[in-house]
Amino acid sequence: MNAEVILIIGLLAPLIGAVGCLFVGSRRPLPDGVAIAASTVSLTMALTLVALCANGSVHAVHAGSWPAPFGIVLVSDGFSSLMMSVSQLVVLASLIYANRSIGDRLRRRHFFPLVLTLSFGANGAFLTGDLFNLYVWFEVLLLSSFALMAALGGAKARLGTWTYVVINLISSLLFLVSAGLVYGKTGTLNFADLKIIIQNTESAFLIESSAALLLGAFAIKAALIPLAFWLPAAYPLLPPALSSLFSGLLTKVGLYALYRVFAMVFAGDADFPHREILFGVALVTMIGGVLGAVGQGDMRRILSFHIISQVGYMALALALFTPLAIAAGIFYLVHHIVVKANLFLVSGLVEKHAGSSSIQRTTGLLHSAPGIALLFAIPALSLAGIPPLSGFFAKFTLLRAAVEKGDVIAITVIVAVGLLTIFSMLKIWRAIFWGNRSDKVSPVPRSMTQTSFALGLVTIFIGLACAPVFELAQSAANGLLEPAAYLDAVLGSGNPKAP
Amino acid sequence: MDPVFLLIGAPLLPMFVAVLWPNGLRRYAVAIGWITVVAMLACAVLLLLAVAEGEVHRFTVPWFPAVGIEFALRMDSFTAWFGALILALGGCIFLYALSYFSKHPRLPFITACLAAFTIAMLGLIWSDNFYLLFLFWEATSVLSFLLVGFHDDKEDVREKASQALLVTLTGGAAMLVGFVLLQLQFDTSSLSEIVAMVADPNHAIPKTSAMLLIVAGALSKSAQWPFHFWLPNAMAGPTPVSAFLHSATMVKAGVYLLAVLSPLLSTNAAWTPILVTSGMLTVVTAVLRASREDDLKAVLASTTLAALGFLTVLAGVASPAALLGFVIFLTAHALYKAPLFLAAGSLEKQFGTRSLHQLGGAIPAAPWTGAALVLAAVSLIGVAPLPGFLGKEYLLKAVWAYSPSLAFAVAFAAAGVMGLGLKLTIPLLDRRVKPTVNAPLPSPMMVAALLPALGALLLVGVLPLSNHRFLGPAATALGAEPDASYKMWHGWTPALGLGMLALLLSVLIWRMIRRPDFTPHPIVFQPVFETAYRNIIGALYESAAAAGRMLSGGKLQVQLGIILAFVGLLTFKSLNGMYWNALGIAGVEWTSLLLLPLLVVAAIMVAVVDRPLSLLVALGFVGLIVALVFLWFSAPDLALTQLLAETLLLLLLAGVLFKEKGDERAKKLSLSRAGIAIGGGLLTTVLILKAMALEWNHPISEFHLNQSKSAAYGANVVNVILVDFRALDTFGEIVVLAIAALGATAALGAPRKRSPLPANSSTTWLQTGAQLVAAILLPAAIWMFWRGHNNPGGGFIGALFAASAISLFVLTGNPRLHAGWLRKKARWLTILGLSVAGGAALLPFLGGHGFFTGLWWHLDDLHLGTPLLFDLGVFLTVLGFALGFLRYFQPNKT
Amino acid sequence: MPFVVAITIGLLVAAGLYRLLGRTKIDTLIGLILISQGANLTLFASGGLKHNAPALLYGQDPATMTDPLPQALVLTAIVIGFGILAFLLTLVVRSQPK
Repeated sequence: MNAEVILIIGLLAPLIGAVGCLFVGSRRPLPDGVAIAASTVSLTMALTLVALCANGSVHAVHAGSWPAPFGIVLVSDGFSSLMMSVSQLVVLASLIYANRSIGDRLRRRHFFPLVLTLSFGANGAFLTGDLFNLYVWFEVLLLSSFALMAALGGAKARLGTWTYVVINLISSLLFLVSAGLVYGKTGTLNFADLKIIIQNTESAFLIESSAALLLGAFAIKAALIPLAFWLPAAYPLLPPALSSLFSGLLTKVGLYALYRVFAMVFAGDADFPHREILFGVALVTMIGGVLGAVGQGDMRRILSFHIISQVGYMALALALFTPLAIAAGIFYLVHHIVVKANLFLVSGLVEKHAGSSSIQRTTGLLHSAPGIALLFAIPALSLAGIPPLSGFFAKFTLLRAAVEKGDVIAITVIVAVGLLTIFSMLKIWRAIFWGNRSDKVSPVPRSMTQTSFALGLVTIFIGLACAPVFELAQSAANGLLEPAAYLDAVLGSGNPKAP
Repeated sequence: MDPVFLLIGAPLLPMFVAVLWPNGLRRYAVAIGWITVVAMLACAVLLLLAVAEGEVHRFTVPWFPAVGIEFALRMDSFTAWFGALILALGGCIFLYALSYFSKHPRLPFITACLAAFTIAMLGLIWSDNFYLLFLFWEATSVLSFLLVGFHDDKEDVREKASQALLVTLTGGAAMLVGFVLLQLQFDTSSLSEIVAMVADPNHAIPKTSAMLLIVAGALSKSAQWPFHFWLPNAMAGPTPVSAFLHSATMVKAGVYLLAVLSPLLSTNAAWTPILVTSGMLTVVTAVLRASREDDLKAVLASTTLAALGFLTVLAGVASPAALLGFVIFLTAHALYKAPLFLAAGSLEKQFGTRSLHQLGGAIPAAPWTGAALVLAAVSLIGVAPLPGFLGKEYLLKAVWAYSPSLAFAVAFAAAGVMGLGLKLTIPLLDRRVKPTVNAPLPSPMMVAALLPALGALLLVGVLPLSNHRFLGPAATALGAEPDASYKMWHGWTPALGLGMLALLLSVLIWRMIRRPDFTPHPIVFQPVFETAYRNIIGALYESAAAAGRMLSGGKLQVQLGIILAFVGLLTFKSLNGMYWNALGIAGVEWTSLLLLPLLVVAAIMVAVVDRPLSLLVALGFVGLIVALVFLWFSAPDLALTQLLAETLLLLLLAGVLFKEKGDERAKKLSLSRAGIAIGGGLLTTVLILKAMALEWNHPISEFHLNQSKSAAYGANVVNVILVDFRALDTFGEIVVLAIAALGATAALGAPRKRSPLPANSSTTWLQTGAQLVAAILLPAAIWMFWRGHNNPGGGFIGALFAASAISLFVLTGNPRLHAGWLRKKARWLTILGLSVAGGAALLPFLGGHGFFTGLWWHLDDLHLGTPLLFDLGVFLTVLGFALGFLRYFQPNKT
Repeated sequence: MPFVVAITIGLLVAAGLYRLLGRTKIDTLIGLILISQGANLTLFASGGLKHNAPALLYGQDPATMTDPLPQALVLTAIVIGFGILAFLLTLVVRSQPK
């Protein structure tokens, strides 16, 4: 199979699976099987793409065989294939987990196809090489998430759902407007073409204002403070399988877009538009998010606020904008998606076991369910940045990038927020895992714990194999900062529109 | 791989297996524990052989070379000696713990943690890479947290364990930054390499920032001033844990690192003053605070603090003589402190108390434990010929060489520590009191306590041998002079004099502090730093609560306002430097401005009216204006689409609006709301004018205009773009519609399966008329769809026509078109539509052409191709979507 | 005339924002409808506006025609917006008393 076929199968497998799920109805185990199979196929293809792109090569599919920039191009490079793999991994995990955790028939009926369309949207967003097309994929992703929340959120989550939906629609509209403005000013939508045009234009005047709108749009999706209100409103109320999926996918697609558009398309030699603003926003996000987390009294609320804080780290990596920082940021994304998804899965285990994940009500899990304690400890320590787990290397490389740049503020905030992260994980451990064991506990289905365990193993693996994974991240970062291969693959080495 | 490392780690593994193995092996935990004890002691002997051998063992596996992280182990005589100490004491403590916890259900847990801790500690001292060291450093912190918090049912214990963890991890984080700085400065992350740089006379002086950060980490780990407060609190852990972690091993990690790095870091002038100050302050505060303490374990904790303080002073002085003193002091302390703790634990078990007061006469009552205690205490006090004496002697000697006045201060402080030693033994020797025995003591616990004390005796008993084989090489490896050795008798030296002075003073001090009316100045008991710690945590919680409130729980309007204001200001800021004449205001046809008043009125209407009907009219009017703009500017497809979509949306909205209860509260015009609105409007206008005025490039659509007819066989370029050039967009679009339909079912639940539509009250002629219109609309829909490729129209428009037709049938109550029918049909239409569109995309792909590539069959002028099939897919999906929605908004039975 | 379109869009956005910041869900919804119309028009207008030159190839010179690409994009955006707003309506319906 050549790369083109792999890319198309990887992209479409979830959609075909979604249609298949609708087709087979809701009787167990049909939709589960179809969904898991589709996701597995997509994951396999994505991993193959990672292998194909590991050497820095870029594979493009010109939809409709129209030459770029006139048609839409789907591009698999180091960054997109990596993101696609990790997000599919989380999709697969949450599908397997949900198989037992979502029992209700009506809910199952919507859950499986919608998760697949969600991952279809994410795949498209990672692969597309076109600004407007990215907007379309965002909408696929978003509407799937809206529908999932409406379907599974239950009555308590309604207000949160509404907040989530409205704020994200604002983001979409900002995106739409800025895509229009970019086209109006440059006459193109293709990333590669845009890159060349922007490079050859002296004036920052050209895209500065559209870039501001885009930054706003992506920052909302990535949940950067002060645009992150939707996240704490919505996430804590969702079923764990769903918050796990969302935490792994939604904000990360926003970050992906930030990286792709700002670090590659809009970037000049040492800078991109509004970098200082992003820097400030990232720092505020890191601090605000972690403080928010410390103040919460429920495991899932703590975890939700942590998403914000961690997103800040990844935005900071982008704003530092050195090759090492970008690579660190990409590594961080990979690590974080797995870890955060896993933590939410564990919160589901806690709830299933003890009936609640509230810090006031749940105690003594270390004694009543030491297995869950271990499953929690792996991602929690990783998130906190304790070696040799993946999170340490993510934080460490970022820290090193900041030290190399001599940015004292960044160094201080990285370290301080890392400590506060530990503090809040400690809070969960003290309250939920320590203390007198409770009598009212119920067993947890094995497939649920196994899913969490598998993600834990991935975390350990990323930690132990940090060098090769980081090389992938570096190659991905290099693809963003030195996109010659990307431009060649998209526009053809003969660059019809190159000057 | 150098087998020595494997040899040491392997025996500890069974412990983990015992814990992690599901159920099976747990019952053998005690047996495995015994094996572990033997293995640890055997390994200690092996290590002693390694010390004597004097070689440097290395084991390196590359891990993360890009940033200098390596799994690099290195063992020289000093770290082998230290390792032997750890394993030997560890073996004794394990032995002790097996009895101490013999009845405890969590014996496997605690022994596994202890075993893991041993490995981490060995890893720490054998790491030859900053980051590997950091790894083990953090591991010891985390494991110590679990061990200290063993009795986690007590809130007090949880709090103290957390405090120890936070303080040490904070220090660790600082240290990590220091390591990075040091690595960047010296271009290596290997400890041995970086220390070896001292040999080069032109080596760079380490940066003060790096040095300070590393010192902060080390001081926090070794509980030195100002981080000294956590160690006494960590005594909340079970006694074997205190004996192992907080005397012999973990807290030594900090001073270990200081000593190892001291040859290099002491070239920075700030090093010595900082460490000496911190160390001395620690000793003084520890002694003063312990003077009124009655709890045996607390006194021991304070003496530990003090000993670590002396070690810090030695690392601060950093001369070869100081490092020689460091090794012997470290050894002596480990050998007396472990038995002291173990004996204290035994006494507590035996007599049920830790109070020195109530333990009066305990030593005669428990002779074996008492012997260990006395032996260890004598060493602590520094009476020749025990190792404690040597430690004190060499401490004073090294400090004297550095600064005699400091040596006096050290001697005075040492006298305080000796006084504490007297305080914790003499009352216990009192034969007049008979403490009540609580429980008999198992013999392994006595043996375990006695072993290290005897070991200490042995060490000095064969001093020439241990000098030659162990202590000497260890000190040399750390940085003392070559062929270093220890002598019991130096002749009449200042150090000896100071030592004697200290001994005399200590008796005075003891006599002073045992007086009931002895009260040191209250400032001593002011827990300044602990209060600071608590205040920080308190402030943290407060700001956390504030942050939480700010980020969630507010009103949506406020949140939206913040978001919009942020994005608006950011965009506005980036408009800087634009010239207004670029906006094209000059070319405005002023007559067209006559339309403005109308537009403004419409905008205000639609912004403020609330009554459902007027609102619908205003919205309809606005939609019409938008459609007219499309039409005027050459976009017939858009105008049609806009009208159809708007109409359908308003129909759906009408159903909702009329159900909504009127809001009675008077509405005030909010200024900020209006401000954001007007600002946003202005900003958008300027942005558009700017975009319209700038045309820097030929747009890519020139290609579309030129190729549409010849390559894609369609005259309506907009439609060709939608179904061919950018078909992927459209594909995403219909997926969105399908999801929206699915989401609606998800949100509202499936409607009752066979709920009949409302019995219709409309008259027959209306029904007939509507059905007639519908009958015309249906073919029109197909026609609209078909002509789309060359004329305005296409799949979406066609489908909405069809949907209107069917909805007319539904609304006029065709009995066959009930909700269940709609639901099924809508669902299948959607599935079918997606499949057809997907098929059109994949068909050429399967035939070996590109994804979405148009395949065409030409019959004269008739061009049939996969893009048309794709458009059919769009038609079906949209129809399915529209019908799916319709059923939710059918008129109510009123 | 393009100038008037720019102002129209500004007015739409202003009205939409005012609605959006209102108190009820219906307010928010209508705000979103209006703003998305404004966004669609922005997309449409930013490519440049031409009167009476639809991109229908019946033999005229393509160079004189209006830019068809923004139109196609707007069409996609209208349909997507339509789908999403319709879904939003179901959320409003759900929260209404039965």
